[in-house]
Amino acid sequence: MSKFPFAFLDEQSKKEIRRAVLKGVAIPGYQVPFASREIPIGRGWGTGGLQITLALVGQNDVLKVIDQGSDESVNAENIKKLVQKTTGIETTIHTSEATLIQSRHRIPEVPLRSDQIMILQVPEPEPLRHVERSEFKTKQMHAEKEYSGAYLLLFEQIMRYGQTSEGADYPVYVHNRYVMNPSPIPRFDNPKIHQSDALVLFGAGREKKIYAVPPYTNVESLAFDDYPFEVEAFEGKACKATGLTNVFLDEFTDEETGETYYLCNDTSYMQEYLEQKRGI
Amino acid sequence: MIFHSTQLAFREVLEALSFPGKINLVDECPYDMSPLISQTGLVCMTLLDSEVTFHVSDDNNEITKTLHAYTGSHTIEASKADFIILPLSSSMGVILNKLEQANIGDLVRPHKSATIIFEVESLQSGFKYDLKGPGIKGTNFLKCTVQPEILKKRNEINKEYPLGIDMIFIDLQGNVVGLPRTTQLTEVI
Repeated sequence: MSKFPFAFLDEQSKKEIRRAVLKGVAIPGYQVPFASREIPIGRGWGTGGLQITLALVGQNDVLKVIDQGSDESVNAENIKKLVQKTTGIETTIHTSEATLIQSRHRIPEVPLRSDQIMILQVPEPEPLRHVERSEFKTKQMHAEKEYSGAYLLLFEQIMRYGQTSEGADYPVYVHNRYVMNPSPIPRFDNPKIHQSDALVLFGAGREKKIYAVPPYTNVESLAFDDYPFEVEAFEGKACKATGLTNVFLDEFTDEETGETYYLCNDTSYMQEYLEQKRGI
Repeated sequence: MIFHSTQLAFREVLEALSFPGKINLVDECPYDMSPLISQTGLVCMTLLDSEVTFHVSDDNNEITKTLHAYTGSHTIEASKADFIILPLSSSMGVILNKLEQANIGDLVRPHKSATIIFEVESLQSGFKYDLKGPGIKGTNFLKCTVQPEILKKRNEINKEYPLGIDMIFIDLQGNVVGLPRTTQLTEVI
């Protein structure tokens, strides 16, 4: 028998996280502070997401963990193993089989269902941090719905580059009240949080914050009337392995020929697609 | 083992608050929590500990003692409590009074507001309410024995979003429905 409690954390730590999750759901986009326990991975390596996963997970859950689209990266594997070894639950790479999906930097290509919960790891939960260094003051700004700073950042990018240069972690307005960092997912994934069928939870372990976007909640990416929000464009590009064009693509360089090619970033989706095509 | 029971209860409550109006079923508590509904006892054991405070609406100290014994949580006056528990026996006057006193948080810390754990006879029959807001695709409805006057009071308390109270209803069958502050509720006449 494992000498650790079920799902590693002690029950009191879980209670505290669970209470924060419930308040997060009740106030969409608002950052609920929590104690953030020590766990056996370094802060900044997904501890916030992991603590939510550990507080949620039960014997009947099936867990999927992804790291930038990959189920097989060291970080994803280690998180999956820690949960698996302390709970005995099943893990999967298939999005549709999972009940809990913990992720760093991506929301899967396969649409989520209302019986699934998406848990995103967050390095920096505060969308106003580049504008204001003081946590005390940013909390006040959220209280007063004072978000001109968030727009100013985008405005400066447009003045300098003719477009917004925020790639990942593009800020969103949640339920028309709080501006929120959606974690470093590409802009491509922002629309997936809007009116999502699944609950989306966000955990920032180092910054000790938990927040949530309930299902069927309005989530709008910040934009200006004359500079509307745009997702990454992959015009004329397709995944080399599958030929898919409606997915988020990674750019690769063939080391021998120097040729540039693209592959699906969501590797499990790519694998499922190829297996289906081959009739496996 | 109790931690498996509380984990399951938490997920039911989480789903209830994520999809307001959706009826979820909580298991019975392995311990005797009477005169509370057994499932209310389990939900309290899931959420309460010595870091938070609670208030039970009636004068019956028995419930307060039981909850303190099982959770280590301390009782406090309604206006300061993190959790307000309204047992089935609470009269309309008491309920309105406690809701009025409940902490709605402040603009910097709206999460410091009270969560109301509200025992009702039925969450499947009675008055009909329309629900709208986050967690609801279009509209949903709630049929329950909670008097319109009480939910009118709840609407009044929650009018200054993000301030407000969040409610967890539990009925005699162990059904659970969540009503976060974001849900817009209107009575269907």
